[in-house]
Amino acid sequence: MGLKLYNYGLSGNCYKVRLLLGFLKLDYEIVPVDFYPGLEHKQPDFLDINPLGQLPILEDGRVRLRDSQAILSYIAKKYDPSASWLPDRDATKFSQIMMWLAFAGNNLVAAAADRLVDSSATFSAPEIDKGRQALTILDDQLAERSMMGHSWIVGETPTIADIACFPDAALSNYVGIDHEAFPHLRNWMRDFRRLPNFLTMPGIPEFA
Amino acid sequence: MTVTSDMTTLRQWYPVAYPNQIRPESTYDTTLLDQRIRLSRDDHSQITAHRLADDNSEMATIPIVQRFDTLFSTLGDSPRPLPQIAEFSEDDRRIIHCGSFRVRTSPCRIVENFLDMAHFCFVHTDVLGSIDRPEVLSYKTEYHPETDEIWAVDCQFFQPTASKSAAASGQGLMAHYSYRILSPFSVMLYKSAMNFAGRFDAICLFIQPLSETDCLCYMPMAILDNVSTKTDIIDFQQSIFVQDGIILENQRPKLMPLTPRSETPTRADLSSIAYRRWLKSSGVRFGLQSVEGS
Amino acid sequence: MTLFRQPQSVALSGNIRPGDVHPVILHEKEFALWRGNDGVAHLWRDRCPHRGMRLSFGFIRENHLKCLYHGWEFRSDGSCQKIPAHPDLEPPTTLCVDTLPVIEKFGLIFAVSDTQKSSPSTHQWQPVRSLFFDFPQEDIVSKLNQLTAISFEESGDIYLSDDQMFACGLQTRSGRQCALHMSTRHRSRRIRLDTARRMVRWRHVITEMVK
Ligand SMILES: N[C@@H](CCC(=O)N[C@@H](CS)C(=O)NCC(=O)O)C(=O)O
Ligand code: FES
Ligand SMILES: [Fe+2]
Repeated sequence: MGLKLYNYGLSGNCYKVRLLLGFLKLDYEIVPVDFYPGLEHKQPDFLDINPLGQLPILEDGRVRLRDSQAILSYIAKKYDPSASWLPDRDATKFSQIMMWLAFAGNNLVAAAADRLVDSSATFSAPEIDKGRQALTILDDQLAERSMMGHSWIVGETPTIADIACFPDAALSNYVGIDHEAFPHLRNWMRDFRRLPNFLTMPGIPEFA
Repeated sequence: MTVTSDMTTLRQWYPVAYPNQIRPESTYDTTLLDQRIRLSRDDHSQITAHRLADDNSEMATIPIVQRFDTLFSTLGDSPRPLPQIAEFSEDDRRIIHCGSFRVRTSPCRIVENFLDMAHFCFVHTDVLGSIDRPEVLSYKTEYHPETDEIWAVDCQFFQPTASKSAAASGQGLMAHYSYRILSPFSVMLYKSAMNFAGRFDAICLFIQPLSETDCLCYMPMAILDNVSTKTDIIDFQQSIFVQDGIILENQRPKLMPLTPRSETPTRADLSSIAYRRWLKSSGVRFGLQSVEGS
Repeated sequence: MTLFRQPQSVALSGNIRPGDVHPVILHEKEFALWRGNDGVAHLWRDRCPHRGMRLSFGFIRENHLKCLYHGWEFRSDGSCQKIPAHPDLEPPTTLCVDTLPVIEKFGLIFAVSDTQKSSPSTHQWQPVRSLFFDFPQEDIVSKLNQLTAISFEESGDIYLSDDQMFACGLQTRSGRQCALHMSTRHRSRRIRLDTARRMVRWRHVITEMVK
């Protein structure tokens, strides 16, 4: 049966899932979706799978999940026996991770969103401002963490909080937000790209 | 912004939309060379285009033609004819386009990147180039007076994954290329097709300059591939394109400088040298740094 | 390349790690700030002499910087060592990136007009925080003393607290944007953390005020 990911190569949310599957060295099947220009995710066949008309979708046997944050949690819980990507014994750590997952799924979206492919989208100033605000909050968090001697958003090792925040943070540069004002964010992204089994995606510079 | 006074730039056809972007009984607004324009489909499914005034009212009509599955328009009188690309009428080819992509830089920088092989191993690592085989072997450029085109021929480069169909074979190959500059802001390449000895994929890049430093890129392709799905082919091409996007938006200055010592070409940049020279002799100023500005 | 009369701080030393390159904006000009694996910091014009690619997107190999676009490799003095497309070519000595001298002192990196000796005191200073603002430097300077309830005295190119335990460097990014870099000689993590938090709070207050 195995894992099956409905995927689009230029989607930051699909990329989160590919990252974790890669870190855990899990085998999975990719179902390519012609997101752009085909808009296959808005066709009836795909709406049967996800009525929200969004990627990614993960299937694991009879389990079908949408929302990249939920998918990260599922994979970490089920397939990471060391529980290092989602430490769930420690209430504080666990909930802090949930907090940053929510941040990634809400606030941080403004930093990159779907602008990568939506060519007619205007890069509106208010949206860019919201994106900058979210990156400032992440930079503040990482500044504190680095002062405590830690490189990651929560805890001493990378977790799914880092995975959830990485794509939109990194892609925001490509869609028009300069990273000059976020020194800690830049150091964190570099550490992230240097993790073993890290996979890149188009829109993120390759060399670390 | 005022429309450019550069006559060479005005007298060209530019892509402005794909036919399926113009829905029945609705309009599609876009920008060409700083001029707002509106495309619409009438009751007979005929597509028309107008310039828009500041208050968004429709002014004079402008011509629309459909070629290579793409809609082209122009703001100038007697534009340079669209190119002949025979491959688009060959029966066994698949005509695929992969959408339009926004790149915020000069159209000249985009054309030059398309002509360039030296970046393959750094920007398209393990796909179009391998970090341990970065050498660009010498090639030739030609001027074709009958079509007023610049060609780069006898180009070759070692590629680990030359195309979607080559990916399956799992080993690298020497890919052969020819490049054809079709107009100031459009260019195409011919690339040896996997499994079709002696024949070439045709991949075009037509640019719609919204302004001097903001473009939409259209990439219709006529390719030989009876293995890959359309979705896979699009994914391959889009990935390559977005990898180039990071580079293109971070070249400085955005307007391409033509003054001799402001950038440093090498032998690998022969096609870019020919392109820049041809732009200059054609009188193009759009997208280029003005001489005073350098 | 000489651009500034005053030395300008461009970053906290501790934020620029060996083997990393960062973008920096000074007086509306883009620079690449990087540190070789030998620990030496460099400030270069953010523009590759080949095709203008921003060098802050490049990557460090030992004590050289490589451009992301075509992999041209530059030595720490800015000269070009290698052009990968032509492995047998010896790059001409005229091929060189524009460089700007930097020094490190008080835990800060400064762009200076000509090379001076680095003060050996750098290692005693620890980073507190860099803050970036979308308003002019003057708006910050007048409010500096509200920052941490410590009073600061201008001292040449930096502001030092009365007890000489904190240092603040300013950076003019443009006429409308600036940054402030604060370091300290306090070894206590508690003090550094508290000061950094107070700075973030101060940023909220001052951003409201300037609005
Ligand atoms: N909260 C969801 C958002 C998913 C999402 O926005 N996916 C994009 C692709 S990256 C999409 O499918 N957009 C189409 C739409 O929202 O209509 C997640 O994190 O997975
Ligand atoms: S632009 Fe830097 S190597 Fe070509
Ligand atoms: Fe490319």
